Amino acid sequence: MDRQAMRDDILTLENVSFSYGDAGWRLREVSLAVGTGEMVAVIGPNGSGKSTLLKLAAGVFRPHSGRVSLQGKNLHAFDRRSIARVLGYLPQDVHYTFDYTVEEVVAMGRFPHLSGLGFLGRKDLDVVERCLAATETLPFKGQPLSHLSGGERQRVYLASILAQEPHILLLDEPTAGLDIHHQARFFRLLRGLAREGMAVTVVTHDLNLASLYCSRLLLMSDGAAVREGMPAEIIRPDILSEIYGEPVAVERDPRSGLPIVLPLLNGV
Amino acid sequence: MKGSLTSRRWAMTMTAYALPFLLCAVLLPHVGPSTQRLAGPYATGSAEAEEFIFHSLRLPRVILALVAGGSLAIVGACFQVILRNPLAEPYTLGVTGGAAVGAVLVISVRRLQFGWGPFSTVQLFALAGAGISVLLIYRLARRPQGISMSVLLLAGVTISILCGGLVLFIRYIADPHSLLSMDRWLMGGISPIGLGELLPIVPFVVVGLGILLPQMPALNHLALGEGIAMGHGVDVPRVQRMVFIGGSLLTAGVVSLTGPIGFVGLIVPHAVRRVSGFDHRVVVPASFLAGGAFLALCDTVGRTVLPLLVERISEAQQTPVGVLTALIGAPIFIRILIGRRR
Repeated sequence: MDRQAMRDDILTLENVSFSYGDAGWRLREVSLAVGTGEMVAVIGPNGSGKSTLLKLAAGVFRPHSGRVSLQGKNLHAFDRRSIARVLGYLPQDVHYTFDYTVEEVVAMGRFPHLSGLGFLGRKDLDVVERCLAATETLPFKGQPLSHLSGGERQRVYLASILAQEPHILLLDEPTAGLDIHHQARFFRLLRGLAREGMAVTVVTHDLNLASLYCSRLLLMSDGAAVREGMPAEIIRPDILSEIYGEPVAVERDPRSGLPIVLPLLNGV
Repeated sequence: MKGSLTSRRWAMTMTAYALPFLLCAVLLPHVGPSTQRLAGPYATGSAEAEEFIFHSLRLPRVILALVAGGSLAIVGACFQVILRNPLAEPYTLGVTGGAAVGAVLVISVRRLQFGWGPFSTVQLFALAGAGISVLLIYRLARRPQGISMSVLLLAGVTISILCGGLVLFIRYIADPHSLLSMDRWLMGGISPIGLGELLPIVPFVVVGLGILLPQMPALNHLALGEGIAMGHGVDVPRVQRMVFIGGSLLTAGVVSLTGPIGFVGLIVPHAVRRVSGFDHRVVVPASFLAGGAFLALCDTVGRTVLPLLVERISEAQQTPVGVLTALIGAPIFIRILIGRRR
């Protein structure tokens, strides 16, 4: 075991490559390591491979080459339930076909811990209650999903992932389509989880949220990881303008001193 | 509906669904006109004739209705989830279309009559047709990561349309004398003679249910999307494959004996969800119990009440039970829809 593995990295992707079968686009040799207590953002333009990378990290896809390791072992040597006990994955496309109640959805997160028909025991009910409280969704407990706002529903899905009691969270654009209040609330929630020791990786298009709340950023472009570092190292006008093909201005948040991005009014 | 499902609430709900099912099983075989009212050789009123009617006609008929209705409803409940389509039913994936081609084909060639054990000729050909279309659809939808649900749905619908065309074509060129028996098959009906006729579908029902039932906890997760189901620890490709295989086996077995009986597989699962919520650990078994009871009741109405109203139908004749499931089921379901809105 080298130094790399000695660190607290609990999820590592080493030179993973992937393509969707049809020629053309492919994810090329991307590496990423996430450790406990860290909150990493994956950023980059549309189609740069952020979601694909996250699916590889979650084991939804199998890399064509390279390796994904969970706690030092090959991710694909685990079955889905074992993965789910360690790793929580919230995809972008959650659409409920049936109008489950909030409590039912969160209880579904206990699936990897239960066998048979999966009835909840006392301990499971406690976990569900705790996850509802942690995501501030306890007041909606008995309500059907259709009665909730988009932001509330997103927190319910997060609660159901948390009910798996994972050590790693992988979230794919969890705040897309949410207002500024729900965005900030969601990211504060994630930061709180990271401070408690969770390894959090979040794909987002919101560069300012990434800069303000995340300790490390991975910038992707056209299927490759182009840069990785602290917000100040990535959120720079030269780098972003080149990768996004759009000139931007970077200012400093007067309170935190962290970089924030603004588009240019007239494009120049 | 309310909080998360406990084993106690599950058992209570299942009991509530099992009671009418068992009542149907016990009571319905005794329902029917006495032999004195019948014409012909049965008009004796003798204990022997009553015995024959009970054991060889009514009992197998009620058992088949319970099993067929239950199977169709349970397959509908599962298909609606994995295809993420509320209009999915057991016939969506081409099984029945293939079975119909097989059945109609063999009925048109009247010299081709051979049975095999308890299987009738028509049944064997229906099974063969169902098998061919299922394999074809499975091959079309297979992908390296599992089966593609969207291709499965499209391929199923396409094969069904193709089979519908083939059936029409066979009917067009067939000897007009065989048309009546073709229509009888295509309308669907429950009229086994003797318990022995039920034997051939036992393996299909047992294996099909054995494959489907263990998948029910995973179905809730799939109803939120394949991605989050994977995240929760569900082996999504496996569940989809199992539901497709188990559902096809059940449908093929039942349809080979009864022909296509509509409505049950589509509406009963929705009615159950309206009444008992969306947890498929309840919905799946409850659909079986409710679908079975519903079809058995419809069939009983068909062979007792209907002959009183319509002179041309006598008990000896086959009742088009598919007509009744729609005529009785649609108003019930509309009532449930209205009841919920308030």
